[in-house]
Amino acid sequence: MLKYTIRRLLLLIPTMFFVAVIVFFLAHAAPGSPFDAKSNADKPLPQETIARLERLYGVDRPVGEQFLLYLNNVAHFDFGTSFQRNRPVSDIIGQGFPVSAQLGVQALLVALALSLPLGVISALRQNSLIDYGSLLFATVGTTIPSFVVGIFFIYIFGVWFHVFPFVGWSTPSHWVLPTVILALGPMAFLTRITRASMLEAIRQDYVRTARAKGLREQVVIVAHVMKNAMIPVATIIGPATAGLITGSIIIEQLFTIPGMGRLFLTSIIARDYPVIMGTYLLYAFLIAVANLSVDLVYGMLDPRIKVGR
Amino acid sequence: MPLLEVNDLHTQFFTRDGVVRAVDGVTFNLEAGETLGLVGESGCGKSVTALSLMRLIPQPPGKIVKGQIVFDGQDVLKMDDDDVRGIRGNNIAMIFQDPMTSLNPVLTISRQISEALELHLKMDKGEARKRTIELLELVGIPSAKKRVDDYPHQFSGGMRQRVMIAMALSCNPKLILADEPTTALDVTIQAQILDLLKNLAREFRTAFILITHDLGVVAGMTQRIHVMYAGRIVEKADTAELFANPKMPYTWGLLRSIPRLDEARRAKLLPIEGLPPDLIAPPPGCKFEPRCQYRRDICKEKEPELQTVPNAKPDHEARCWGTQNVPGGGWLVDTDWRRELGDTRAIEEIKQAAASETATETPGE
Amino acid sequence: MATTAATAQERAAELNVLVRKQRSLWQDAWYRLLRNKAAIVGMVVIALFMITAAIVPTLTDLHILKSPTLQDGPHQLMEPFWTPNTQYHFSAYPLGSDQLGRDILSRLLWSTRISMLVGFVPVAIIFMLGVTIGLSAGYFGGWVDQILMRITDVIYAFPDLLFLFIIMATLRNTALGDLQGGLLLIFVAIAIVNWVGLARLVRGQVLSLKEREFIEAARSIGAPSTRIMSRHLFPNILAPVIVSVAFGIPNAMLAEATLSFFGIGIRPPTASWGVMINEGFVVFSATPWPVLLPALSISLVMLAFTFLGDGLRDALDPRMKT
Repeated sequence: MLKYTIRRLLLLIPTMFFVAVIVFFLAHAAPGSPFDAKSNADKPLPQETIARLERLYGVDRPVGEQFLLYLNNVAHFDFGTSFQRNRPVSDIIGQGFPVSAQLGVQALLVALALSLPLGVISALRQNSLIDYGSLLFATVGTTIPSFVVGIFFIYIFGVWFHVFPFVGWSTPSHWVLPTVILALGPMAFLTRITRASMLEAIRQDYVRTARAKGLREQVVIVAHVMKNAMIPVATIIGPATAGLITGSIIIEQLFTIPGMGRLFLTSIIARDYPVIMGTYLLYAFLIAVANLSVDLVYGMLDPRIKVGR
Repeated sequence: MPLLEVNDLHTQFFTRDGVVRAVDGVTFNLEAGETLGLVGESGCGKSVTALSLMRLIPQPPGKIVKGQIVFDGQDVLKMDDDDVRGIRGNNIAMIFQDPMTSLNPVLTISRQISEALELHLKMDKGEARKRTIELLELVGIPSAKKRVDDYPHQFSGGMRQRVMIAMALSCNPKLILADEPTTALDVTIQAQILDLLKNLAREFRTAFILITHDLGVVAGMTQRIHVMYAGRIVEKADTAELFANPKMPYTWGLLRSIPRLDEARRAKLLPIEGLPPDLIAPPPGCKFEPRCQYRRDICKEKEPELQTVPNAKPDHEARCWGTQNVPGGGWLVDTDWRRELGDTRAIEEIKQAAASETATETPGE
Repeated sequence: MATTAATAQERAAELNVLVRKQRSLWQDAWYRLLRNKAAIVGMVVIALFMITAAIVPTLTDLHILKSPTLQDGPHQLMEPFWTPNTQYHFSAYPLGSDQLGRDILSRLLWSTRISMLVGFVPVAIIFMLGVTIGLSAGYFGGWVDQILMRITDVIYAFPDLLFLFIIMATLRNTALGDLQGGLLLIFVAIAIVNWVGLARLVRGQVLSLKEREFIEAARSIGAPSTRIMSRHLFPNILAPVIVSVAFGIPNAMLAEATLSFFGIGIRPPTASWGVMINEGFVVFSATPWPVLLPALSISLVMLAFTFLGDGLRDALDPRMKT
């Protein structure tokens, strides 16, 4: 298992390399210079200042050369300096990442805590009110765009009722709305998967065998069915993480939260290449790790799978 | 007192398309230590009968609507749920058809066998484990001590079925229901498993109900055979008597369709034409009539009773107007089924009807 | 003679009645789909939207509907007709107007055109790309397969939205971004980001079907690969592909709405629901309707497609009998 993990981690490197290539060249494909952003309409920077800045940051060199330089730096764990803010990228990301991580983890926990029981119960009480309710919730949750729901919630709980603040991240009550909204998408998805997986597991022949042995229904469900049903659910954690990452970008924008998501957006628009690369690589790494852990967890749960032959 | 008495059992399934009368009036007895064969085509109701005995019929959409099941002096249908669960796996156990899907893939077989031991015989983990290993050795699993913590997928098909048998035997049941225990296995393994079952039956004096569509399987294993068709029993006889002297055209058809080693090579196989009846709207008279080449008008009008028949052993019963000595019937009493294949016109009609059935299948996916 | 013929007919009819009639898989699926009420509702809603999208230009030409881009200074931020202090009078702004005085009803209806386009065009591209590549990779294996797997690994490492963001943000001011008012770039971006999922799905299906006897049989009679892929494999992989396509459409719409909400999607003054939400967010505290109305519209259409997708999945997967 350990060898497999190491092998997978090493395989990350070529993947990340390609990610870096694509992002780098795309970012540089945008017309104009990163330093146009620094100039505003009433006080445009003189051409020479722009040129000097470009030379300073090495942006005037051919793209290929810039990329190789960047790679070299990354190999030495130097992620460059932000054009916009003039601080090391690792610093900036180091500030934003904990916020986003907290938001993400909170949302994931909330989603799991609510959707797993909901999925199990609605599978066991098929066609009941709870079942229809959770199905409806799941369907609606996966179709209505999160920013739409976010806007509604801001309006109802922020403006109308003044219950929760919706700008910033300073106090725990600031955490409530963003976490809930971010959790909705994964929650809806997880409920569906859990329910479907339970239904599938209950149909299996071994459930009949368990009943034929005289076991109580409760024991059958918990000991026999659930252990099988949770396997597909565990594998969803990978895509769920990806969803949380993209969701957090939207949520952070809506609620003005100083996390990595906002950083990502502003850096794209400002063409702040080092920050773009830094955030992107970090995201790609996180997703790859999430996918890897899914495979490992799957191997642990399902004895039929031999992880890392 | 017989170990098991089943009286007029009716089990039905309520579906969107109608009510399926899967078991439509089944009555039979079973003595302690006896092996009974329940034979019939797929869909004739034999598995449903077995599941009904343990009240394992899924409640919607199924329901035991009528009848009496008396096991060891107790009326199973009148028990409350806890008592029924006390019987399952304990006094009556079941072996299912496909051991791959019938065993839980994520639990060790030690766990799956010990479950019943801990539940019914109140053993603790240590005792249960010891007993589990004993059981595995009993059914012929080599290196049982090492393999007891393995998972089902680590066993071959035949081994898995042995595990299921061990599971069934674990609490020393008085009755074991074996539902097509060898159908999913290849022929050489089949023989081994059947041998195993026979020896176990003899050694522990367990009663068996062996459910199968394969007459070859029951031939060497059972003392009596009941033939089922369309949810009813259509013939009851001792095993040897059934093979030597069957008294129901359906049974004749079954026996005729078995290819024989001593047949001329060019002799054609004689299948039973047509398809099993629709259990939602079955025909009014004899259920086998549409496929029977010996039929007469009375067969279409009224259903025959299951009765003793002439020219046979005293406890041999058949459900056929032709072989019974009753007013309106009896035209098959002296027929030698091996030679007389029935009314040729009837055979033609049946063949034509069967051909047009297959033609109404829409082609394509 | 007549009587025997009659009895034979009767017998034949009897036996027919006694046997359940056979249905082909597709008929069966269609029948099952029609029994799913949610799916029917979804289809009706989608049909309505498509009709709206089709007739909207005519309505505007006939002046039944106002122009979606006509800015009407004095009539800014009017309330819809159901609010208490509306200034609505007949033939004015039934759903209100936005901060530039544009008719919300008109913009809302014109957005259906964009949504339909954004829903169907990228998905069509994804279908063609994904199916061809998936079939080839699955059937031929070898280096085609290897390349596909590497590419999917890389693309899977990108969260969809991020990739979409970066493409749109960086390329929208280029020549490519100018084509068709930015639509072409959006189509291409959505297609590029999402085709791998379908290709992988198809590949997986092909892999499991490849070893089946009917493929072996076709090969043994000398059928060429293209024929095997198109005649034998393709129809058998269609079912999950159809479901994937049905869910891909609302996915694409959502992608466009999100991009437009962040200002990197459709270029103004074209109306799309995402754009309307973006613009409405600014005046949200003054009046919620410029945001709520397009939000409701997009939710409605996506819900309809999701019901349809669910219905299709239940109908085409014979195992799932509830």
